[in-house]
This record gives sequence, structure tokens and C-alpha cells, in this order.
Amino acid sequence: MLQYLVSVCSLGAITAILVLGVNVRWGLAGELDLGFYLFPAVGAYIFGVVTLPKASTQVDVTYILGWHQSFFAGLLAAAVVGGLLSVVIGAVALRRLRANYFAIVTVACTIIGYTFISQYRPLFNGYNGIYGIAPPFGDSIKLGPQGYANFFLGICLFAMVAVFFVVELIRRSPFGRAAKAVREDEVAALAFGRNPYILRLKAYVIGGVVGAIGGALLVNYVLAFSPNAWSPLETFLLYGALLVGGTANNLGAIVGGWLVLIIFPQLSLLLPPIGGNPDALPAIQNMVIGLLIILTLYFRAAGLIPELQTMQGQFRTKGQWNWSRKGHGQVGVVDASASV
Amino acid sequence: MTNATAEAPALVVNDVWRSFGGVKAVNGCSFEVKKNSITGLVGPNGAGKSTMINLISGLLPVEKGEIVLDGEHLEGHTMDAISRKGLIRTFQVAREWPKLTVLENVLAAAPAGNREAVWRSMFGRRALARQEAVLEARARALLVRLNLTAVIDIPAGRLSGGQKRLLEFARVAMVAPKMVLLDEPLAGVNPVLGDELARAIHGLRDDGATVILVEHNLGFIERNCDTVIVMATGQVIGQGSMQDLRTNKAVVEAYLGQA
Amino acid sequence: MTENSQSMLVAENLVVGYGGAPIVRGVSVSIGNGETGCIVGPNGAGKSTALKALAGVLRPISGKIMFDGADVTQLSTDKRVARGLGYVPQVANVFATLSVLENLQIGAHSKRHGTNERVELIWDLFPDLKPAHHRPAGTLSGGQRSMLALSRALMAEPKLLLLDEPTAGLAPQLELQVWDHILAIRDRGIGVLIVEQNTRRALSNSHSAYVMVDGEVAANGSGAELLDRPDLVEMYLGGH
Repeated sequence: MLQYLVSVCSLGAITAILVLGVNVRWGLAGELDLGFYLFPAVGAYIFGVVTLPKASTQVDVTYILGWHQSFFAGLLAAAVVGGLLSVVIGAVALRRLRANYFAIVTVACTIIGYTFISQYRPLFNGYNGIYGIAPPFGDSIKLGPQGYANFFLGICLFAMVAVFFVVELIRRSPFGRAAKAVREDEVAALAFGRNPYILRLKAYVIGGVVGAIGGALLVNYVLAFSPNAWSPLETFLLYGALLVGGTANNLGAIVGGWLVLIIFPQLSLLLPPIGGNPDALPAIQNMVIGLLIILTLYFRAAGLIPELQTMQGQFRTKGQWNWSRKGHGQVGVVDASASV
Repeated sequence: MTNATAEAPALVVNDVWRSFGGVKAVNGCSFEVKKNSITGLVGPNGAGKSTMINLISGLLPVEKGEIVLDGEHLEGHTMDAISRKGLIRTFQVAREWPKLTVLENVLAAAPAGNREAVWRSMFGRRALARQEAVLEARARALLVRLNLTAVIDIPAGRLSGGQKRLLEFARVAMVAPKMVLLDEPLAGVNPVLGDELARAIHGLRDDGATVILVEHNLGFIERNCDTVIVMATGQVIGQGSMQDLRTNKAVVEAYLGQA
Repeated sequence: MTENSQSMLVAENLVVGYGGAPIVRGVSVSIGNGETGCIVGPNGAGKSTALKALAGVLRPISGKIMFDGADVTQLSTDKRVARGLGYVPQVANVFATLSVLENLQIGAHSKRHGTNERVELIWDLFPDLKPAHHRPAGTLSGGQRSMLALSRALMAEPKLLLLDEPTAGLAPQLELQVWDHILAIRDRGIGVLIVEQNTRRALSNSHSAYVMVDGEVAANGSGAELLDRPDLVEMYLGGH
């Protein structure tokens, strides 16, 4: 039971990182990126091919690189490639496209990526994908299975907190304020000397890096990665999580991620098997998740944690965090009368 | 600051043309604006005043002609590039950033410098915090001058129309611009605010800016402008004091029409 | 002011606004049966707002509007149209995706029969529209669109038409054309109250003219009278 919980919580932390990535693009920059999942996928693949040994010719597996590097190298590589890919896609998609058109182009890029990776075997071994990822630090740390699982949970939680910390710093900075201004009124931002394209592109890249890091951790959890593990549809679940947790709100992203992608599915397991058909379970699970999303949004349309009203008090000289319960713009104030 | 009578004009508009689908909104418009003046830009509906403002500020590209600010050509540049050169414009409907507070609105208007680079949110934070503190002090002083202290921490979207206008002036003043284009600042605002807006406009001039004021309220123009330029059908048809313009046949005809 | 018992449209002390200071501050208007009236004045005077109140697009804060002997102050625009008070707004005055003919047919919506005869009448008045009858209204030129907007309102057999700046944004020769059409409509016995940018032209063609300044009627009388007034320029350019 404990092992099960630890495992689920590790996945929860990783999922929270993915939702934080979505929030950087949607909440900070206002970009409706429906193809987000391409970046966790790329992060996972890159981590894999950097840390795996060279593709063995004996077993029928082919992939690029195979540098057999450490966990940290893999993570760094994933982040870098995620960032570079963001620059390439963002430079094209963000230059002229808005809203619906931008969303469609991102979906198209993800579908192209998905299809290319699936078909072009030499890249990441096509449909069969890569597997046999070594558990991080598995050689250096001698712990039993339970101990190791706890250790891995520790890594994931640490990563989640670290990503949250960085993303919050960014949100509260002058850059974050400028990105928010662009999101609210782009023409006014232009009128005051800001370049919306550059600001949006930077946010897009940050989102890609966060997504790739999440993907790299994910492949350490699953220890394998193939097109089965991701489809262009996955992005919608992340958005569902963000909407429930509270858009434009990093704490909401974490809460939403845990709630929609971990707790809701767990709740659906409590249901008695309907019709006694075990294959129905995933379908039922999805229906339950959907229903719970609808109910949550019906009663709290702004999400569980509404967007912070102001950024005030969040850039103090000493860099201290103002976590007080009262006042404007502080985390923890769930003000039902606040207009979002 | 003294009103220096500089020889070189602050802005030179030279034979500017712009059409929309065959309709010549601005055709061969030329004028000069004296440094540190408050110059009115008036004319009947459809004269091309707003288009001219959009052309100068870079919101619309110029088809033909030149626009020169302090010796620098503006035509062909994007709106944000022109703003960074020191020319700031306002809009007919105030464009505040609704979910940012009044104070944040003013801070977000201040020239970015390198404060808004992403890496600065993580490294060099102490220096950044010092810079921000200086800006915040300036912003607060401006908001005091414009009587907006009471709403300083309120999201700007909740302000009244008049307060949003005053906020616009605060944002403009924060930039300390060379030149300000005001696009119908009285539109939709309660007339009692007229004096406060006039004070804000003179405040901008006193701080060293040159102001171009587009307005329909000719009484306001007469009370506040050093000189007035009249446009009609895309060209300049007269310039001078309101008194001069009232006896200018072309101006009267532009306003009253041809029978 | 033509105060005859045959006044088709009478407005008394209209006050109209959007909250805050009202834009129209006590305006009274009277247009007789079959007359041409106009509301002119400098920008921001509240002319369009007053017209919108007469048309039913805006509800006045106070004041009364009588049309053809009945109190229509509380009636919505479509009910006013059904009673014969037509309205042609300045923008969005045709359905761009529908054809010319479909626009006309919708205009006749409140009338059950006689549509075909009315359409023939429109082709008579505006021969340029007939060859374009199948084209989407969005593809028409500015002048044609203006004609179509006018025609669409005519399809409902109005007794009086309210026109909001019908010549706005049109080239000078098109302006003249639109005025010819308005006069042709007037010649058929349909009254017209027009808010117009070109003051002198409007005044020279109106029986009943009103100059609005700052939300109030600064002068009224026959168009010819107002045209000759020496202080007309002042109302626009200020000064004493």
C-alpha cells in the first residue's frame, strides 16, 4: 500500500511539473498551446537516448546518440533540446499567429512530431520506443526497493518545488509583469516600448524547458517511452487540470495537477466494476475525470485557486517571500468576490 | 524647465500619404511641431487626424512621405521601436492593463532597460530590487500628482473612465518622453475632469515633452494649446490660433460643409 | 419649429446618457408629416445619441417620444419599425453575408405581403442595385451599401425614416448621389430626419432643422433661416 502511494505521489509531482509548464505558456503569456505534450515527449526521448548505452544491434532496437551519460547530463540535455525546439517552433508560430491559428499550428507540430517519431525508426525506435532506462543513481545508491522508491519520490518532489520556485520568481519579476501586460493588452504594450513577440517567445521557451524536464522525469518513472505513452490528446488533460486548479496561478497548477490527474483517477477506482467488464475501466475513469472537471468548474468557474489579484508585495528588496494570510495578492487568499 | 525656443522643430511631417482600400485617408499631409509646445490637431470627422496619429506612432505603416522626430526618421519603424525613441501616444479609449494594479500599470510603462530580461528574475536580484524601488518611488510621486493614490493597489480594470484617463497620463509621464500624442483625451470623460486633464497635459509639457493634442472640444483646445493645426480630407488646411482659424474660409467650409 | 397638428414625430425634453453625465440634455424635436428634418452640430454634441433614442436603440433617462399620435417612448426598435418609424444606423446597416435581395426581403419582414411590389419600387429608385441583386452585400461598394441600407429600411413601408450620417465616409460625388436618393424618398411622401455631417447641405434641404451643441438644441428653425444666421460658425468653432 505504501509503495503504491509513494509511486502515485511521484507521478503526482511529475504531473504537477507538466501543468506548471502549461501554465507558463497559458497563464503567463496567454498562448493557447494545444500541442504542449510534444515537449515532455521530446524531453523523455532525449533523456533516454543520452543516458542509454549505444543501441544494441543484437536486440532489434535503434535510436540516435546512446551516450550512456549520467542522470544530470540527461536532464540537462532534455532541457536544452526542449528549449531549442521551442525556439524553432515559436519563432515561426508566434510571429504572426494568434489564438485559434496559433493553437492549430501547435497541434499540427505535435502531430508532425508524433508521426515522424513513430515512423522514423532510427530516431527513437519508432512505435516500439525506447526502454530499459536505468533508475537514476541506481548504481551508486544501495537501497532496497522501498527505500529506492522513497528516494525517487524525494527527487520528484524536490524537482517540483524547484520548478515552482523558479517559475514563481519569473512570474513576479519585471519580465513576468511585462508578459502579463502583453497578455492583457498587446497594443498598449507596444505603445510603451515592449515587443510582444519577443516576450511571448521567451515565455514559450521557458514553458518548453519546463515541459522537457517533466518529460525527462517521467521517463525515469516509467523507465520506458513510446508513442503509446503520449498522444496529442494528453495536452487537454493538462489544460483540464490547470482550469480546475486555477489558471494563471502556479499554485493552482500544482493543485490542479494533483487533483485532476491523480486524485480524480484514484477516486474512479473506488467505483464498483460496472457490468463486470474490466476493459471498461479506463473508459469509465475518463468519464469520471471529465464529470469531476465539469462539476468543479460549474461551482468554481475561476478554478479552485483564483488568479492572484495583484503582484504586489512580491518583489521586496530582501527577496523574502510574503506568505502572510491576509492582504492583496497573497497566496492563500481565496476571495470569492475577486473579479478574475 | 524653461520653455526654450529651439530653432529645430520637434516633429516634422513631410508629405505623408496613406489610403485604405482606395480611400485616401491622409493625402499629402505636412506640418511641423515646435519643440516643447502644446499643439492642437483638429478637424471635422474623417479629416484623417486619428490616421495621422496612428502613422506617426507607428501603429500604421506610412505609404509615402517622412516623419522625423528630433532628426530621426520614424517611418518604417514598428510601434514599439518608436516608443523606445521617446514618442508615446494615448488612445481614444483608455488602454489600461486591467488586471494589473494602478501602481503595476505605471511600473510596467517605465522603459524596460534590461530589467525585463528573463535571467534577471533569477540572478542579480538585489540590484534589480534596488532599481525597482527607485522606479516605485517615482511612480508613487506621479500618482500623488494625479490624485490616484487612493486606488494605487486596485486592479486598473475597476477604475472609472476618468481615473483610467489619469492613469494613462501617469504612465506617459513615467516614460519621461520627448513627445506625446494625445488622442481625444476628453472622449467619454465627465466634463468636470477637464481641469485635471488640462493640468496633467501642462505637467507633461513642464517636464520637457512636446505635446500634440487631438480633440473635438475646441474650447479645450483654445484654452490649452499654443497653436492649432486644422486637417480636412487628409491634408492640413490651416494653422494658427483659434481666432485666426475662425476667419479662415477653408476652415469654416471644412466644418460647415458645402451646400 | 413646425408645430402643426400633423406632427409625425415629436420628442419632448429627451435626456439620454450611459450613466455619469448625460449626453443629450433636454432636447425637443418636431417633424411634420412628409417633412425633411435634420440634426446638425459639432462633434460630440450628442446628435447620434439623440437619434438612437428616437429609434429605440437607447432608452431615454427622461422625456417623451410621440410618433403618429402614439407614445412610443417605451417601445423597442422593431415595434417602432412596425408602426412606420424606420431607422438606418451609421454602421452595420446591411447583412454582409446575405445577398442584396435577401437583405431587402428581411427588411420587409414585418409586412406579410406586397414584398415583390416593394422590391420593384426599390429597383425603380435605385436602378444600380438591380443587377447586383444576387451579390452578397459585403461585396458592394461603399455607395451601393449606403443605397442598400436605405432600401432595406424602405421595405418596411415607413412613414418617417431616421438616418444616421448616411454620407459618412463617402466620396463627394457619392454624397451628392445619396442626397438625391434621400430627396427622391422625400418626394414620395416619406418623412426623413437625418443626422448629417455636412451642415450646409443638410440645412439647405430641410424644413425643420436643429443645431445641437453640447447635448442641447442651440438653434432651431427652418433650414434656410439657420443657414443665414451669422452665429452659426460660432456654434462650431467657438469664440464670441
